[in-house]
Amino acid sequence: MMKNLRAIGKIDDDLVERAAPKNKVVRVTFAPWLKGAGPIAACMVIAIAVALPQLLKTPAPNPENPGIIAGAGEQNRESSQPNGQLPARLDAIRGLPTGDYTWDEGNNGAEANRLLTNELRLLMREFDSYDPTVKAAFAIVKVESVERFAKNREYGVEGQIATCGVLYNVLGDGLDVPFKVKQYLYGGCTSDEETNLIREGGVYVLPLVTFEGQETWEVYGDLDVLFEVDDKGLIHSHSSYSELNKYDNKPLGELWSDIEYLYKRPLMRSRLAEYIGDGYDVEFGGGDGEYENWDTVRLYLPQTGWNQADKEGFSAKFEYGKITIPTDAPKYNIFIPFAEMTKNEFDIALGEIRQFLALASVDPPMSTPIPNP
Amino acid sequence: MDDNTIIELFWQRSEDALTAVSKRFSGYCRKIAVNILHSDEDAEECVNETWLKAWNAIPPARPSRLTAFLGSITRNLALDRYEAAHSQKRGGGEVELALDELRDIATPETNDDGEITRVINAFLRSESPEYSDIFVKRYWYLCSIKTIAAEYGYSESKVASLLLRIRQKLKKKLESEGLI
Repeated sequence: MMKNLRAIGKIDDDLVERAAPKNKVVRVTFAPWLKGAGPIAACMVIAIAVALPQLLKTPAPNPENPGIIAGAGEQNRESSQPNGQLPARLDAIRGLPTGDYTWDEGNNGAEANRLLTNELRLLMREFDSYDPTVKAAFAIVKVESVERFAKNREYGVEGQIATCGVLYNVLGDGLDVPFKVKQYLYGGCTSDEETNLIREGGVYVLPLVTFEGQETWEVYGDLDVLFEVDDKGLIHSHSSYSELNKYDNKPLGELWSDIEYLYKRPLMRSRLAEYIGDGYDVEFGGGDGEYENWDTVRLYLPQTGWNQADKEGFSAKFEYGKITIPTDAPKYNIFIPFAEMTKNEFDIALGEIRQFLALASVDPPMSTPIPNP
Repeated sequence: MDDNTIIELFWQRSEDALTAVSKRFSGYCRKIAVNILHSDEDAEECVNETWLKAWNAIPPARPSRLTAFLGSITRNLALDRYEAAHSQKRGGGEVELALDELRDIATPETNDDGEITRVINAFLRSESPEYSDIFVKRYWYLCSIKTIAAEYGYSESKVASLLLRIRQKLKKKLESEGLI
């Protein structure tokens, strides 16, 4: 049989390229602390996000009592803290003094080398991956310790593995703490300097990814120290790109506010999952065909597994508060245009979900109330 | 950086080519290797070895599709490792499952690989793009049925059933060509 597998391996390149796995579906899982906090925590996350612009105006707390800068490695439970304290506490976070350096992004062909983007907005879009083999998290992390490793025997690259704790996490996807971040010094590109490595005791705002079967995390797109928080609690992008360095020397709360806004869709997802997840498991993905620009939500009973969803589940389509049932879609798909929806429309959709569940004669435990905005 | 630029860097023997492929194709190649090996460490070694193989192959090669070219190298390296590790024992994983599924269309060892590939190519082109893609995902990329089902929004049983039908049709095609 291996002969056939080898023969299949030689099929035409265009067939292989066309069938390359698409970034489609990610199973939404929550950080253990969020699971433990349950619906209340999810409600607080939303409430905090909504209240953030106002709360950013609150003065910073006493610097001698920096609040959440607990020992890195402790799980942050800020989302279940009283509403109204978060931004001030964010601004109380302190990292290490940092040099006033800028990456050699423009002069060294780094734009081409840089895997992703020069805008936070686009980064977040790319980062919101549907790839089932990728787990992602966007978090404020504190580096506990760093261990260097010598050149990789295959590729001749040295680097380091940093053990980190989480201070805040927008949408943790299995980001257990402490967790490890692996970084390389490739040489000859943006990531070729010691300054690109996160430092012991440092605090960073990092987009993190890991892959199926991998024990360590990586900083997404080689944005290795994007963003760094200095000893005064101010942001340093170390970037020459205006959309990234516009946060330089500003408080962390301002950046975090933008990140949470850009993370609207995952926040909505987490809210939806918490809302209906008591009775159903939820998977999110992209739609197909006419629904390709929509998000798909699959609901299924945990005990049946999603492969039985077509028997146990149901389908619906939300369009600005109106609900329809597509006749040609799999029974267990729900299409929700997260990207196009305002918060109010999303609230309406949540209500519609509840109504639809009742109309569909399914019996999920609907004890979780709709979170107040 | 597009394919042609990267290939040009290879031809200029610039080490930037390695950096570029590493940045752009690491995730893609790692997925292939992990599908086969189920080991982060082995997969990473495979991916790194892929860049070296590509370095040695280009020039003289000038691949028209860098994605498939690199993916193919990774796949072969991973299968080599898999075979070496499993020469004494049979294990689990997607390769084993895929091999079991291909049992019905096993061709004699004496048959020409090139001829089998030619028939499979023609067969896949005669199928709908969706069926062809599902077949390639399963038996080229060694994706799990669950992963494929998730990508298409199908149930796992539907994907398994589709694959069975495709294999049965392929078997008839191979039989008609005298390869089974």
